[in-house]
Amino acid sequence: MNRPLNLSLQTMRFPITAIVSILHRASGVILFLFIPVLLCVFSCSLDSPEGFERVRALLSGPLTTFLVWGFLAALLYHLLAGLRHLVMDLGFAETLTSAKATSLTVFILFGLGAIALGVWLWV
Amino acid sequence: MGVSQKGLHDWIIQRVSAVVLAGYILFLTGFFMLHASVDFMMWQKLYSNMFMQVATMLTLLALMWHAWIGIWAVFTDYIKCSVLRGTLEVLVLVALFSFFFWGITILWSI
Repeated sequence: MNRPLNLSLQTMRFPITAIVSILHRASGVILFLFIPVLLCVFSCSLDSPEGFERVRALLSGPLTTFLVWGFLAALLYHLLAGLRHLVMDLGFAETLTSAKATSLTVFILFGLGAIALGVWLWV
Repeated sequence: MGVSQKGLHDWIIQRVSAVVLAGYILFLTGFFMLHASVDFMMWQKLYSNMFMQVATMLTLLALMWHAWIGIWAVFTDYIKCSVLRGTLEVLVLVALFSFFFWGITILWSI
């Protein structure tokens, strides 16, 4: 029994363009879930000086700093992958080779940006 | 609006709202980069500005519309049961409208 198995998850690989696309969706859904949280924080921060300080204290807690990083990272990713779409809408980078190159660019810029955000938040 | 036009309409709205959202994010990023430590006075002054209030309302509208088109696409692709999909769509629409008006009341109470 050595026939090839389709749907073998260990050998199946999604092309990079598909991964960029699915993560664009996933980050979009995450950002949607963050809308009420953002409105809460926004409301409290503009309510009074005490509210502003409460938000500042809350956002600098160890767990919440991680959540802030997660939100900003999702936003950064969604923004970069969205920009890639706009570039292609304008008629640039529409071939398979260039679409792969722009996908890789999105991942690299996201990686660097996510690290920079981490440095800004924790260091 | 005809069904055949909905796709094109959504396509344009999604891109226009994306540009509005990107502009707002860029502006706020610049604000936080220019001011190393933002205090309540600065924050309130920023959002008391009429231009900022109008820009924020426009951005709230863009955000809710953008989210609706995105979530609609995700639901349409992954939820096959039309009853469940319809129910979730109504819930998301109600939530997005609520978020929009919630945002407006925050701006009006500054």
